[in-house]
Amino acid sequence: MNGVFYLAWQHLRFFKYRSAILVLGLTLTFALPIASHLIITKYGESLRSRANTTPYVLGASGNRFDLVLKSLYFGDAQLNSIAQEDVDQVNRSEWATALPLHLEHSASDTPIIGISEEYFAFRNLHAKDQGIQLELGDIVVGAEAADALKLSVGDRILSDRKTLYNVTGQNPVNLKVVAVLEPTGTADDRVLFSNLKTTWLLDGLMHGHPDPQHTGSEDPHNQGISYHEVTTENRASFHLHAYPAEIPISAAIVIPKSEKGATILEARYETNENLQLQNCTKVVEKILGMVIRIKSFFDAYYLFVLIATLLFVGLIVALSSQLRKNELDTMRRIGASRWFTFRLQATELLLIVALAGILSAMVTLIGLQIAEKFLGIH
Amino acid sequence: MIQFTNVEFTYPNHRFSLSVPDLTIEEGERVAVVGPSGSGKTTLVNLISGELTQQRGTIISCNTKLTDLRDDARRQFRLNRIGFVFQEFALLEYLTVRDNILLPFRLGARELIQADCDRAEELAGSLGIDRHLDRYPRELSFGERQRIAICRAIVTPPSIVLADEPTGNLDGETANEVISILVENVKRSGATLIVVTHNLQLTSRFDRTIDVGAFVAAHA
Repeated sequence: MNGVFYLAWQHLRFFKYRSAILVLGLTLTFALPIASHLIITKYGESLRSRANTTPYVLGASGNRFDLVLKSLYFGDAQLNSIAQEDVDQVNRSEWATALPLHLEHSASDTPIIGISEEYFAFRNLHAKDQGIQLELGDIVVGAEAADALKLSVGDRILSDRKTLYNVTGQNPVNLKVVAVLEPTGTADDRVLFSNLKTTWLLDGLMHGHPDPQHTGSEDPHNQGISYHEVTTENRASFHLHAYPAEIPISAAIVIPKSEKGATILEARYETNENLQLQNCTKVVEKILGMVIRIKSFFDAYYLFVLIATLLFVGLIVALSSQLRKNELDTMRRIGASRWFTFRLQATELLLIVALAGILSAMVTLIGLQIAEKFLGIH
Repeated sequence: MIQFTNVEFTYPNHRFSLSVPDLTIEEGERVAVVGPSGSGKTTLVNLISGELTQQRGTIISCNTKLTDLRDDARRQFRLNRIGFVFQEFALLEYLTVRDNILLPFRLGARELIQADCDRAEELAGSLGIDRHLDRYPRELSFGERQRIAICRAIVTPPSIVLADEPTGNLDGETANEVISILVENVKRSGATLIVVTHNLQLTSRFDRTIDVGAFVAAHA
């Protein structure tokens, strides 16, 4: 091993606690801004890619950010409903196609997204090893949700009660898994999909005759819970107790057929007091604009921290040179050059910076994985 | 052989000066350098090693005229031809005993080879510190530390060993022991030994004693 490198390494090894503190200090100084930059960049890319493939979202008047984020990423926001008729109106026009979204229900705290079957083609979603055919009471499971809930084709899962303490409320439905989707790296991976009729059943707007109610006495996992279950035998008996046009829908994805159609629709809904049509890209860019402004503040903060840290490191190196004067003098008296002793100290510093760099990369990667998990970034 | 001819040295901005008209130390000779404090003992040793350069006269050391050497060549001369033993041991606390002995090679005396490692172990064995090779200096006694310094001084092996007050930090018994070890090992290697000492009782171990006070050391 090269003499300079060997001596530098031995010095760092012997004073391991001092070296470790320097490495950790630099690691944090490097890792925090890099990780936050990467997380925000990835977050932005993730938001943009979904928004850019979803032209417009139609929903009830209210917070536009909630409407877009809920419709695209299936978040926790509560949306006021629109009517199926509002969706049908768009579809009857020559300007656009509307894909309804029902975003009210969940199973094991995983959102159940009520959709029309065109949604799968629109999002380019494919089931593993089979086609997708959604009947009443069926669900298709996103790839991550399937892993998290340990669901595979043929399994059943109970929908969550919307009002846990209201015993007169709608009973859950025992839903049957008919397909698991290929992973896409989007919000679609983390949800369950049903057709709209199933969500009407979950809403309590449909029922069968005789009432196909079960209790969980047969099912060890759902002891004592009453629930509905749709089977091949009773499926035909289910019917709707509402006017189809009035059935509540959370939102709809609107896909204009032309630029002209988009302009006309935007103008039409601009003056509508009950409905809003939002351009997803514009809304997401607005959100990212706010994020980037906050990031700029943190960038400036990190820059000051970096400068302060480098000054501290410089001070430590200077003090260390003072403390090591006797050692370095001995080396020079024996025959080492000033260049050698300079390289020795520089190598120690470089080793510390290199170790901090490696640790920073690891911390950043771990940070990204944690961020992906908790922020749902892909 | 070391030869001083009409050498005059003055520290810049100091009133101290040393004048050595004629001094010859033969190859393999063991010499004690004595004199009162501030008389120029260490200055003499530093002139021999080429750490200091005289203003006038000639110094020939190991057949090399030191004034002809540039800084880098002087440094290399020290690394390869001279071994140092310092009063304060001057061991590197973060290196093991083995690495301290091999330090001149790490500093660039030449490429470290297995034979050098074997020689370091052999020397450590002859000085009774071979069981401490993987320990650190702070774990050892002062006497043991000075033995490590002696090993380091003769490991290359050098032509001249310069020891500046090597027993200054040791008690009488240990000082005697260390001088015996130093003299014996340097004698075995055939190198010239020059030891600066205040302890006149130790001078009997040397072939010759040089009193630096005998030179014209002026405090102008």
